[in-house]
Amino acid sequence: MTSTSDPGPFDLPEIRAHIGSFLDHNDRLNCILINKPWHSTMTSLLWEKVTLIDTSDKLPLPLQKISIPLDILQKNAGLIKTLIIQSNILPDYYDISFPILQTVSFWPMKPLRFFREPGVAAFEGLTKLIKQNPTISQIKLGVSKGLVPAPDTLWEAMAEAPNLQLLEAPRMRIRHTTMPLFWKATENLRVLILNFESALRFGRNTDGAGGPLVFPRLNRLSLEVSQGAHIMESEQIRLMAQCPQLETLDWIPDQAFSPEKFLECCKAETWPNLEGLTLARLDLYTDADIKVILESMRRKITILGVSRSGFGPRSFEALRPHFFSGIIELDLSYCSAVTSPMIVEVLASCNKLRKFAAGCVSAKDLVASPPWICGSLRELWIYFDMSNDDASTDPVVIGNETTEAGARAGAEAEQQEVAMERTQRQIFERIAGLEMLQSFSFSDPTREIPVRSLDLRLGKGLELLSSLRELKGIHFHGTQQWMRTEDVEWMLGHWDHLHWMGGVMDMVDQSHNNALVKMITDRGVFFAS
Amino acid sequence: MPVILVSSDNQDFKVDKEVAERSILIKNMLEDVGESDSPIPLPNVTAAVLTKVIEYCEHHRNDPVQVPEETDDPRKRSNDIEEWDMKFMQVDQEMLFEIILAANYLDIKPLLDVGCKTVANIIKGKTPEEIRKAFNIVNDFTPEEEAQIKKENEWAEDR
Repeated sequence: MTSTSDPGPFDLPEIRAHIGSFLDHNDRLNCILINKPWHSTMTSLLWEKVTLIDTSDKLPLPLQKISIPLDILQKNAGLIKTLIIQSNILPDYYDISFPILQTVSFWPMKPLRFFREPGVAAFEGLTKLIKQNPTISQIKLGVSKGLVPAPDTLWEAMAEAPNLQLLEAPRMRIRHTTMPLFWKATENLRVLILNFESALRFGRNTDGAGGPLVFPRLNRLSLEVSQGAHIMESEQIRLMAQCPQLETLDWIPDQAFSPEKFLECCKAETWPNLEGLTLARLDLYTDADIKVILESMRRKITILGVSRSGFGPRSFEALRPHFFSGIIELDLSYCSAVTSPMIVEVLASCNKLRKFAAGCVSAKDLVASPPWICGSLRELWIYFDMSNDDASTDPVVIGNETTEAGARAGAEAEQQEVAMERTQRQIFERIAGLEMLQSFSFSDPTREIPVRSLDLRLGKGLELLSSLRELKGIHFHGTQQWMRTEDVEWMLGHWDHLHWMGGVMDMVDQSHNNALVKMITDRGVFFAS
Repeated sequence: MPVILVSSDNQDFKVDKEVAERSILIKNMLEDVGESDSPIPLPNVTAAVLTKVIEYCEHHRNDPVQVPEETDDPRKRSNDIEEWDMKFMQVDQEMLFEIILAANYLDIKPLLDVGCKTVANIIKGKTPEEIRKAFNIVNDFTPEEEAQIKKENEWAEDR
């Protein structure tokens, strides 16, 4: 500040912190040296989240080099809110007290740099950490293969943890004898994210008897069952039915069950507060079945995932009242009864929509539709049928111009081509309006040979997508593309956050395509062909 | 229904209620005061700054109320500033700071965000010395303290 006695914004810690929230890690490391007030603010931000990993790569434990020395970690322990333990670490680390620790992430699944299972010592350390740090509210157990079951003492410690609200355990192998402890540890949670790989047993006592098990505070349940877990459908349903406060439910069973039992729960108003529902393996669910489910969600519907189901006109009717009142995520991918007009109506009616996946939409319907109001869309997957009523979707063939009929056919084909290009530009314009779009896919999974779709070239409309400044990924599998070097250069230059791409860029010249792929991967962008 | 705001240097500003209520502070005051149309004093904001603040609120009067981002990850927050706001913020540094302070005091979150993003954009890519020069900040560290800080914080590596 130039003066003075009047305080400037930099004198207010909340403003320094607010500015800091817009800076990346490197800029924060520079700000930490500005002066003492900035040092204090930035230190808090830098040490909020910390990763502990063995960087010495496979040396035995006593010789390990851990990413943060013990004394430094100790000094800053009071600032740490999130602790990520990515490998075996020296036991002394688990002795540290973290007075404001909220989240512990143990062996996160990604990124998996060192493929090593947690040892017994690691589990013991985690147990101690939980016991010593009562502020912990979230525990995320990655654990790559789950071959070593977590010891009973861990569940006991969790059951005692006074502030625990969330448990994420993507691979759960629990011994039968341990199950009562597991239920005790989880019964007061707000959020439970599980993938069971072993059988469920209910009941509080080891013999399976005991009172009804209810999860009185569970707001969000994600239940995935791996093949080989051999959990009966009735057991899976039973677990879900014991959560009366559920607001969000994800159910990914190991096989396609028939809808009766689940529909019974819906009709019995088992989950009166349910507003978010994602289901998998819905091969046997008809349009009428989905309609029953939707009508049972009386409060509102914010999240709906019914991929590969019979979702169709009746379900759509049941969903329509929720368009304006708040649908945020909608997955209708691989639902063969979803029509182009339905997709168009969603885009023009759902103002809060952030994620949308559906199927094929006709270009004609799209450009004729009212303006899109889904300006908050972050993820979009739809694919295009560019054909007019009469034309086919084959590449345009210009007629033989030597005969009069040929010349007329040629002129007609050219007119069609001009119309198609105009339509395409209009679609590009619509997409360009989705300025918050992070993930855009127009891959067509249904065709064996590539089809005419959006032509990702400058001059054809690609340049209109310069407004997509948040774009992280774009997929165009199954579409005809003739991209040139300058088109790829443009993409890499304009989309600063581009992280992944997928599809065939040049369907004519394979070696050119490979060169383009290399250009992209050289810039650190992932490419899926 | 117009509302009268009075700057610290005693200038009156007549604004629509809807515009004034972009400031949560003023909104709360109006709710407390009820139907009275007495002017609202703003002792912390000069006329020059209040003019700018009102200009911002007028332009954004129809913006939807901001919903806090679901994710707390700062990397996911956009550092982009829309074009009108960018031109609006092309002021000298003193005015920039006054706007930030006013937005903070009046509790106008979108304006505070724009102001802080503008400062963040100035900071980006600069060394500590360059940042100090840009904002005329005095370095209150000794060289030993600086070296110590550099050493300590290399451990907080971004993963």
